[in-house]
Amino acid sequence: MMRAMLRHPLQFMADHRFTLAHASEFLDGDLDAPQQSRVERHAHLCPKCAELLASLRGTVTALAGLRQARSRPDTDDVAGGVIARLRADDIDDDAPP
Amino acid sequence: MGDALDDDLTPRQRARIARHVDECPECGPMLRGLIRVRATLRTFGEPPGRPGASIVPAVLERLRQEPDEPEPPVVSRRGRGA
Amino acid sequence: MSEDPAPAPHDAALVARAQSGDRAAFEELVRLHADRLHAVVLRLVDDPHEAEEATQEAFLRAWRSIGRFKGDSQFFTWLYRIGVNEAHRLTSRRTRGGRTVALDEQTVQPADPRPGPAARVQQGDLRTALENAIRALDHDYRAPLVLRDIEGLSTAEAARAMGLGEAAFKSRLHRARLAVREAVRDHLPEGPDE
Repeated sequence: MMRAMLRHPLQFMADHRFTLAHASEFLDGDLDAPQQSRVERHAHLCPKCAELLASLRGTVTALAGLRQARSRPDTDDVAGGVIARLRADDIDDDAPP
Repeated sequence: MGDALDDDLTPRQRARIARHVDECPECGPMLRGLIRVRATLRTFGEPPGRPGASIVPAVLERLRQEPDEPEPPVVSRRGRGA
Repeated sequence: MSEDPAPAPHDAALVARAQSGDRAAFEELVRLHADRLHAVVLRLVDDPHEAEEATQEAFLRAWRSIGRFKGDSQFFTWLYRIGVNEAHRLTSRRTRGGRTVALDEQTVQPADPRPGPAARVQQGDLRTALENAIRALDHDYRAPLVLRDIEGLSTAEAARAMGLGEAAFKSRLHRARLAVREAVRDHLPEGPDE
């Protein structure tokens, strides 16, 4: 990291600011290919940004974990006021990586 | 990668991610870490409150007290394609 | 990553019938969407009684003004916008200081005028820290986070539900995520070894 910083300090700082500003878009896949590469390259050189991206991704994953079971409409049976709640089993946590 | 945990991917996308995870020394641990986060949250179960209770009856009841018809459309229109 | 509720064509048919005054059709829309809207509203207002009230009010407003729904977005986006506005009306009435505290990029922890535990909670577990961090956010930052990251709306739909352009929405979302991350990073499982 030091070598990259010292060799191209302006580029490094520019990439650093870019990464900080666009970290969320990077995680959401909203950057175009060159921008995405720019962030990836910088994260390999910058431990702070690597940590930021990792913890931001962990945060977003944790937030998604708060999602409650969705009510799914049972379109064949709409009698009564309460529809059956079908628990969406959307991830198998026991699956090995 | 978050999509991988949400089962929103096509089989081809899954295969691409699986290949990348195998090849990339950082993504493997990261994916495992994300799975651990999700697993930790799942042990907590439902948030406080009455998870089985639906708000639907309360809303329907309130609606039925509403005497008026809705306002008519400003201009008549054909059905729009969704 | 986003998941939509009932398929759009089904909604569209019900909306069309409701616009001609078909109450039963609107009641079916209630059955399809009320619980999910309620979940969102509850995360925005915290109090269950207020959440119930705001959800009922949102559907009332939707019923009264369904003639004005133009169908240029999904019905549930329009409905969520009404719900988010109702929630905001309720919370801005409280003695919270009223004005949104802007989240500076440098200051990742939002100023929390309420007395009580610090935003950076060291107690217990990830879940507690997460819930507290969300509650520490003002509506203008909390709502994008709830819509996009908890409820899983797409960026486009969530931005529309907030009445924001996508750039403004993404900026708020990013800052909200940074604030929550700051509060919970000690509780996240260990990352990869560098």
